[in-house]
Amino acid sequence: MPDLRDLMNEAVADITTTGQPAPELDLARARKAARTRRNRLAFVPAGLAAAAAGVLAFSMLGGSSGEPAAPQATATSTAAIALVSYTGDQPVGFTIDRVPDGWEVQGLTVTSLVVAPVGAKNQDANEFEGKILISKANELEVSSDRSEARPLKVGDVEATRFTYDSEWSEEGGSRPGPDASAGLLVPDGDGFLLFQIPSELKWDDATMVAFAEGVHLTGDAVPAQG
Amino acid sequence: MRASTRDEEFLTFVREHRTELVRTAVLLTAGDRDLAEDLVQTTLTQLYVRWDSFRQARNPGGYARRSLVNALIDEKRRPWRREQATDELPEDTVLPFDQIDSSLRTEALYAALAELPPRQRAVLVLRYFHDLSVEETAETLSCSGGTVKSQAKRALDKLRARMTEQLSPSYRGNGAYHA
Repeated sequence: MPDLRDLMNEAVADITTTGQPAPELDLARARKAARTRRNRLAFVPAGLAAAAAGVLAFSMLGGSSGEPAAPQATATSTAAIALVSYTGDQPVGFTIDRVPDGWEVQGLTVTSLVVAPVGAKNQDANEFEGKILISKANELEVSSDRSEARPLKVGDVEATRFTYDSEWSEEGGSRPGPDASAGLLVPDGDGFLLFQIPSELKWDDATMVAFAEGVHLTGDAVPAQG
Repeated sequence: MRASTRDEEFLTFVREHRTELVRTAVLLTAGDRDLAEDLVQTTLTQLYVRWDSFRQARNPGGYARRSLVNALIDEKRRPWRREQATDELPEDTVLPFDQIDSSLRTEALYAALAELPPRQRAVLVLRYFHDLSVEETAETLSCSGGTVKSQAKRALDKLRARMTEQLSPSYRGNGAYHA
């Protein structure tokens, strides 16, 4: 295959300055957007304008602003399950320091570690609903496009916090549903740890980070295939 | 900032940088020119609304590119994310690379880019079209340099495999090449 740089330059060589619309059209569009934003802010109740400005700008422009995205801390629910030190046997392929209070390492399959409530009704370690699933991510899992993905610092590495899709359309599309599991993709050594955390735990980002910081690959874990 | 000064600066920016933004957007969208134009318009509007921040950015070019990449990712994050349908090229359209028409090379590039997740596409466009370093690319994408390297490698491997598949020698029964 030839140089990718050359291929890309060749592909867009026909796009020239003379083919662009008049800059005044972009200005008119931008000024209209700025005017609309000012009008919306004018109707925010006094005292909330400063806090709401960032939110309104975000929602009006349909997403991130192009500026660095700061990790969004979710509200901590009083029903969130706390972490406690794990004192059981360490599973092969992983080390784990903490588990949710009242939870245990339920099982280890060839590719993943399952953490579930003690005495859970479903004791099958190959079924993951309502449980924490930790695995060594395969190549597809590492490169997949994720919903609501954003960076999140876990220890001294930058992980990807995202939401698993739980609703699928007949046309093949997907999106997160109301009780979708949280996902975390964390670089670890020469691999990646993939966490699936059920919404029942009601964990905020800080708790997820504290949990993930205590999990590591030992070199024996095998990525799931397919 | 006075509105007229912002407007004047904005117009100058558009005249000087719009073409490059469109080229970048066309690559990021794997050849979808309508979507590329939408993304550029969205990006320019965002820059104008935040013009004071943009003017003070340490790296205005990187700021604009990041805004464009984010617009692409937000576009892909619309409620229903559709599975990408890929059509197998009929064998009689595949030719030896050095004899293939440039338009077919471009078509193969766009088809291969379209199969990559948006962030992997962005890594390749930033690293190869814009010739950014790993660090500059990481800053634009708000990720680590390690992620840039691993994503670039995976993306290149996939791109190479797909384009090789599309451009490998194949002839009709009479050995004729297609123009």
